[in-house]
Amino acid sequence: MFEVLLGNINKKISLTEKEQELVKTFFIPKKLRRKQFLLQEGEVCQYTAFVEKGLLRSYNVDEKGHEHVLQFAVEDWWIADLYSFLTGEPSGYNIDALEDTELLLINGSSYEAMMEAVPKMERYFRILTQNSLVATQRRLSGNISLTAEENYKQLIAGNNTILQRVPQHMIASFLGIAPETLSRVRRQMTGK
Amino acid sequence: MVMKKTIAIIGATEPTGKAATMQLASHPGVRFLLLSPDTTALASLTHTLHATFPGAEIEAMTCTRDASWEADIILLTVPEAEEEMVAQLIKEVVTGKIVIHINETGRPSDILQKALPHSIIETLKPEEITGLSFTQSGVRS
Repeated sequence: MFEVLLGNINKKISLTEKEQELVKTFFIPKKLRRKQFLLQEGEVCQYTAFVEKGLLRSYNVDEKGHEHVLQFAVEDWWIADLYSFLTGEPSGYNIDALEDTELLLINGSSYEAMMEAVPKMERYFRILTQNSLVATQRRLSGNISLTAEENYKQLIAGNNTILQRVPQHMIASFLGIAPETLSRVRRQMTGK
Repeated sequence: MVMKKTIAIIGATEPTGKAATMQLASHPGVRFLLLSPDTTALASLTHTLHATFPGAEIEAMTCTRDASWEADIILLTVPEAEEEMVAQLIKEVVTGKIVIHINETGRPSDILQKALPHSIIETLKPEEITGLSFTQSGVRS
């Protein structure tokens, strides 16, 4: 149940057996079925979630009812609405499961208590935050300056498994392009 | 929009469990997973609940561990002699979750406290179930 999380942590820092057992006690194991929500727009995001198994997406819905995908999260990834989690403000996002999913959740008070009990985890989360900032900057820069084809190539290079598991219209939404545009880009790429 | 809480009721066909289930099934915004080794009685209870509370999300399940893994809150209404066995079955998947233990005396169970050290165990008398309400952050009695 904790194999993927502990693997992820131990790639960045080194925990003793005792520390690993202690870290486990701060997480809430949670199973979601496909189409079930972890978070719905308007409620406060109470947890950050680590994906042990499965796939989720975060997205918002505009006034015309169009969905805009912000993030996909597969195994070994974290997902949350950090703004809502950190400020306690209602979230503008939804997070739902695209597959049957197994999560490890941690709430704000457990998060703080874990840092106090296992100070090494501060370094782990600092590294995660750095990685997340870099990824956000790259995504923003891609949206501003790259073509649809270049953004798609970047996505392929980043995580191929998502493309195989997510419907094309959601990939298009993530890239901020129409599904027809994505089809054209894919046709052009296979034709090259 | 507030997300639905999922509650697993372990021992749903026991007299206490059945009474609790009938009282709680009308709660809006709650999804119920019912468990009992007596599958015939469980099917009958589920049928009755669907007929009495149309639209309520009620599902009979067979695996106690899986249901507790899915649940946000666990309602334990099994006989005292089975508490330890059930606790051992679910302990891995209920860390950080609220386990509501219903018994006649309302006395906290040492067995449960010991077996589920990382869960939040609340002990209630059967008559105290009526006052329960389920919020986004948990349960209020």
